[in-house]
Amino acid sequence: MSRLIARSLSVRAGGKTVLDSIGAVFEPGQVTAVIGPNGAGKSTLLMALAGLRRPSAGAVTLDGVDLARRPPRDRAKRIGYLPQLAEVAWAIDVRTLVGLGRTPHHAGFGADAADDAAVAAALAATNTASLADRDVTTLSGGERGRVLIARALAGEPDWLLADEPLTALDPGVQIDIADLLKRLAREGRGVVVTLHDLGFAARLADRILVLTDGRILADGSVAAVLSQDVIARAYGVETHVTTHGDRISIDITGRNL
Amino acid sequence: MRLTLMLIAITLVLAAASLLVGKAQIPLTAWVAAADDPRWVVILELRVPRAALAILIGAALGMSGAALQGYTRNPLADPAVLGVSSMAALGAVLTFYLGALGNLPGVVPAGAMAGALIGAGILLALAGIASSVVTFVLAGVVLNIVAGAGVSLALSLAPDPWAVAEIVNWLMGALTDRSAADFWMALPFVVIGMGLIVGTGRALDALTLGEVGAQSLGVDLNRTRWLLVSGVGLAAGASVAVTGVVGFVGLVTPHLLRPLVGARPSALLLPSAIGGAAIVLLGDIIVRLLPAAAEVKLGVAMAAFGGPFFLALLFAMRRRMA
Repeated sequence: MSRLIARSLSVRAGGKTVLDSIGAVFEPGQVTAVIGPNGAGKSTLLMALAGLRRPSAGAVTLDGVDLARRPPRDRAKRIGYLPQLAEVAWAIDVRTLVGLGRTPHHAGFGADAADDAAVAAALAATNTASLADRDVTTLSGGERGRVLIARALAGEPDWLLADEPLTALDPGVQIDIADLLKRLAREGRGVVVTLHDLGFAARLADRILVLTDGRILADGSVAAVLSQDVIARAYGVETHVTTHGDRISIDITGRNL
Repeated sequence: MRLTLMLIAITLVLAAASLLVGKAQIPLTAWVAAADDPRWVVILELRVPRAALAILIGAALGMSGAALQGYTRNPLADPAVLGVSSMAALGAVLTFYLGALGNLPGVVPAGAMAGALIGAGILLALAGIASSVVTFVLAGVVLNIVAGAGVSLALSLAPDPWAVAEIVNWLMGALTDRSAADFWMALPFVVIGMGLIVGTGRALDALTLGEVGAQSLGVDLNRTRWLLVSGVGLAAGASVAVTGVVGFVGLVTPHLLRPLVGARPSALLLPSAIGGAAIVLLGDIIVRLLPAAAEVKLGVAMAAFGGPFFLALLFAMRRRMA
């Protein structure tokens, strides 16, 4: 499997530099969490890694090939992307929604046996097969979250990039989805997620990348990055970080400006 | 598939009924009449072109509406939102100023087609600046307003009351006294336009996940927009060119059929075309059956049917949000 690499990646929007010379190598088989305060450029970085934002300088490469030079469908087959607060415009059923993930595999109409198999596998992997005939608009937040991941998996991508996949879900569902993403990485895919919850970043990630003002503040293992010092510099909060074996817990104790 | 066959059956029944009704009722017995029976002239020269045109423009408007709703992910979109219909109307109305030249056959339809394509071109240029659905719809709304103002201006500056009457008459949209020539003129544009629209099917499905979602699935939104605008420009433009403005078909048809196809935008295209044909046929039968001194215009009748539907839709949407 191949690595996804950001090389001196800069993105400008509205005359403002959103990402400033980001250099990072993303490894398959790992969950990388991108964290940082609001407006740090997390979502933009994820979109650029998915080939959905054109860099103003630098590049994102997959297998050493610039994403901007890959045909869109070819790129889409390799990289699955889940937008933040993903919309589903019409009251389609779950099987149809998951089937949309097969879009990059076809130029014309129709579905073939490979599509059916991929959709079935994606439903099974996310434990959503029992929902297949349900109308998407009637699903709970947790069911919806898993079904949207199934949609991305149906395209059989090597990479899964998810923008805030745990936002607006109850703690039980957050754990389910976090464990699902972790399992998908263990199976060999590269998983990159943006997160706000530091506790979940510690639980889910193999590696954490901290962004502030479009730059990398810290990049490394969970234990190395989630220190009182880094968190204070990134978010301006006081924390109490304790380690119990391989578990790290973070108590936010106050504001530090 | 079963739905499509059912819609085809309904359309065929309505088409047959459309051949029977009119100022002179022609009973089924005339169908076995001798070849020199004068009623054949009415059937072949008036009724058949009329029914064929109803099917053609109904299909064009129904499919255009379904595609635009799919693209904008907004159940309130229809060809009029693009401003294509009103630009076509403006193009046709301006030909009334050509004087004697305007009386030549085919000038009014040519003006309408030119208007529709210019409208589509402007829309494409405006919408191309920022690739978002909001820009696209806003551009269409603005175009609509400008074209509407142009038509009003043309009316207020009209040299004589007869010209005004003629313009108003044409604007209301009707299938009355259309000939086979009108049908053959519109046919190629509608067929090509619908072909382009069908080409957007998979992209419309992917757009269910939003613009970013669709792009992440490898969909080229620029190409989709080009196909859609030229397809709707040709199909809806040709329809307005031969029949005037017939509204609401594009809005109502996809709505009625959406739940029956599982709401997938590409699955809605063909049924909306057939359903649109059925609805225009039905509307055109009803206006001929209404007991009025003059025939009620099809465009007016469709609006009278579509207007209340539109309002009911708004109320239903508000209830769902509340």
